[in-house]
Amino acid sequence: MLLILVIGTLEVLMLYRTEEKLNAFAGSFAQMVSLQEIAAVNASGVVATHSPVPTSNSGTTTGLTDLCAGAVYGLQPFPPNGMTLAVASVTETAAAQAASQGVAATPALYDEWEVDMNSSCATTGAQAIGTTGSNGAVTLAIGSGASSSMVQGLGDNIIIVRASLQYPGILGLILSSAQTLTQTAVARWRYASSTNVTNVTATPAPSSTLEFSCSGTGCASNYGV
Amino acid sequence: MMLRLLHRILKDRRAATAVIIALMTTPLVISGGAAVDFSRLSAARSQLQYAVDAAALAGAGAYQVNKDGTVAYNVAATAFSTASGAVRYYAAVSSTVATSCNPSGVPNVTCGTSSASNGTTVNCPATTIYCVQVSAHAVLQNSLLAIVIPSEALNVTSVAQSTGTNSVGAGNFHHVGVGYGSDLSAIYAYAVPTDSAGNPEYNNVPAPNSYCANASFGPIQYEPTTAAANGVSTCNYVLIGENSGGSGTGTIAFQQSDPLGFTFVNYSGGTITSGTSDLDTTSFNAASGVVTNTGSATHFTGELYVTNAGVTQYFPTGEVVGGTTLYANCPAHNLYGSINAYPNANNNLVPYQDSINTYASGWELLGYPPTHGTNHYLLPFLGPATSITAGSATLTVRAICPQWPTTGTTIAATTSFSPSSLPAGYTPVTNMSGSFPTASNVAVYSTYYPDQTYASGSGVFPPAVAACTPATSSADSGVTPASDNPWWGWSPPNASAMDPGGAGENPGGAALTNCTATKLNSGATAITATQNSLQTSKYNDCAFIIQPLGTNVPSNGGVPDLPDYYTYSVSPSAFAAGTTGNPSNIISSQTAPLYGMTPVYDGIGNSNAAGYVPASVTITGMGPYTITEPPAYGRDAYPPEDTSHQCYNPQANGINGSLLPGSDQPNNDSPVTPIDPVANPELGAVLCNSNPPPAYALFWNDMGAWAQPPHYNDDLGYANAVTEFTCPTPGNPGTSGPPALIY
Repeated sequence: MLLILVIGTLEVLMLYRTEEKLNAFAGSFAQMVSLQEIAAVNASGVVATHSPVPTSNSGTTTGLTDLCAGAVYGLQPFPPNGMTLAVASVTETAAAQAASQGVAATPALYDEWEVDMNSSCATTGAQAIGTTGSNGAVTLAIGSGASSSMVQGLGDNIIIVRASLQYPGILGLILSSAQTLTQTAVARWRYASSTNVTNVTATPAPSSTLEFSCSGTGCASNYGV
Repeated sequence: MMLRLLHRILKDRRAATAVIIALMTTPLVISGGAAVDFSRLSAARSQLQYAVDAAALAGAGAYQVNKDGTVAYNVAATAFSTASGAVRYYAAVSSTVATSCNPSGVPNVTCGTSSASNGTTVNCPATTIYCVQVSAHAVLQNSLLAIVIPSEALNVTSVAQSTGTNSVGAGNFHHVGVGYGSDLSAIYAYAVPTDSAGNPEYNNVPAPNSYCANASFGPIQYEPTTAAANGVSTCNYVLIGENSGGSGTGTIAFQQSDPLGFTFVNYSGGTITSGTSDLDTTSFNAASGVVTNTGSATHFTGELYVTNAGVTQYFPTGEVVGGTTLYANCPAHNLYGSINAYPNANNNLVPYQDSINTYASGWELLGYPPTHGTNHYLLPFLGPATSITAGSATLTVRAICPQWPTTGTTIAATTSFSPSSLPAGYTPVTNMSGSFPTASNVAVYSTYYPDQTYASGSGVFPPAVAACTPATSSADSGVTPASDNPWWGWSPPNASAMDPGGAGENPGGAALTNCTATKLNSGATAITATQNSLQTSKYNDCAFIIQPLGTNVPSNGGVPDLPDYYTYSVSPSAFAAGTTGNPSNIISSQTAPLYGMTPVYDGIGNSNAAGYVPASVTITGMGPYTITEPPAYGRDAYPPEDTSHQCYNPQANGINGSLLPGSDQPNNDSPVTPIDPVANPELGAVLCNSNPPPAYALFWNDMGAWAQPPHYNDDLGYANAVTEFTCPTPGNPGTSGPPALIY
């Protein structure tokens, strides 16, 4: 009984320690991602990305895998076996527009990307968080409404990191199944600002049209919307 | 007996472990439980600390960018809610968020609206600008330890601060001046001041700071200056361009959300048009009364007020110095300033400090205050997806504008328009049936960049807002009634050109009409303050158009292009919708008398389009069309002439604008609520907060230059200048200030 008590206590202690490590792992990774400053500037002097590393359209995951490798060190002495790491970024790339001047209202647009990695910090192509859907990154980012959104305006960003670790523990020697620990961390990209949003003009082009039709006796106009 | 019993018990080893266990169970359980619960507590503290750290950082970052305490609060609160999700599984968590903002000593830093802070104490360092504190309280119900201690309480706090101001003004302006005309003037950009809530104050022109007292900043160097704000080490105005040409770069400090306004500075206040070259006002020597002709000018036209030894002299028409003839055609105070000047130590005239009147563009230019009612919405250059295939190029027609007739024009008031309800603030484009002249053409404004095709709705050119503002056509030779016609709302242009050689205000010329410059004290040798005022000119030259060009502006040799304007004229009956025509259908002589078919002037520094003439014209979509209007005065970088016949003089209409401190006109707030000049950038202000940075074409004219019909001195396209202004590539919190950090 004492042995069981000791083992049980150690098991629980180790579980919490692992969970704490995993929490630190996720948080550290999120903060490291959030501190990635944009370095890619194209020939025109235009910052090419508007979120920490990859975008939905282009970019490289090299930086993320490096950060992952660094964060894995923080897991020691626990091995990262069975670990999965998912990082997603949501950036508001176009602010919602109210109906104005005959132009229909448009919702905000978001650029989201997700990179999933395994215990070797190799990308897997999985989408553990998912960028869309009720539990996806965008939903997590914008919450239930404007005031509860972490993405409060053009260029705002949220980084979501979800780390999972298979924890077999001592019981794992007996049981075939291992417990899965999951920790989620969020961070706001430190350099998030509307100035980092690309391909957004300061003045959206109005969509109103001016139409004329003329005959031999005059012209009629319509201000189309 | 009792002793024996006791001795036997002590000697009995059976069930000894049970006793020990019985005795140790409670301490063991408590110890084990404590270990478990304390580990759990430790894990919870770790998670909770991370949550408050992440929330505080997120809030401080958002505060820095948005300059709004409520936004910072929302971001921090939501970030905490998300980040603390794991703790909430086993603990009751509550949090408080508080924000702090200390903008003192930092220019144009505002705190925005107050946050809905539910915190009471913010432990922020005094040096920080934006600060967010997030505190969390969690209660964990113990498990095994609950026998002794039912629950544990956790309290964690994190304070994140931002000392950066997120200024984006470190970049360079790329402006390319196109000098034309010789009435000297310049355009400056400045950050529109904001009130404590961060709202732009368009009617507030900041005083130049001490760094502006430098020749490189142009005439504003003569303005009274104030001490620069903390952290500012450059002039708070940047010289965008002068009509004498040239290009350059400059820097200005402003916040990300600050609109940029433009001020217009009139150097000379009078037309100084030379025969062969321009004269510089600084070449005048007041002490000797000699106007030194530093160039090869054979004459110039202008009017000068020279203040020397406390006496202001007026150099009227006919002044001849060294073979140079002075003509006058300006009012004492035109719309944007006058030439009062005084000699410096070298006896060179420099502008008198009160004479360089600069106006806030968002408030003043194109009328005062800028409203759709007074400033006439520039119709968007977005029409139906109509393309014109011309030769190997495809032109996209963006707007179709009426062309006023050349004779017999009768413009009636608005009778009706369709649709019946327009968005608020719009000046309706009326139904012209019944009032529009019969023998009319319809202008289709198109823009073209050499070798590039822009699809409707997706191209960056032509610009979103352009100059489809049909006032009086230059082709009508001024026969359009000079009136405040309610149709377009535009005032008519100057109906008579300068006619030098006569006497008085309009020497030898025809009777002056609205836009013609007039002056007071003609021929006087000295003027007083009371005399130094406008006469009765109801309209005067207007000055400024801001034309958004979008981003990714085509460039040639690194020099951004300006929109090319060229159009063609066809008879209204030449085409039906969807027909394909050829040049024989083009009636170029009707509405493009100077340029007709042949000249297509390219943008600045770009010769690719020279001589471009479509071999055929295919029109699809609604028709018939007339494609007409050459660029103004031979430069297709200028807006079409119809654009530029806009006259409005707020001073003459009893409205005084916002002036630089020390200027000689008072402020006079208008009861009319102006429209947002950022939302309507053609009216005076722009935002430089996007990436790629947007570009704008700035067209301006200060006062009528001598002109030949059909070009008039209020023709913005004729004179004085246009320049391309590209916002600086915006910075981010990392370039102009550190990102938010945990304090």
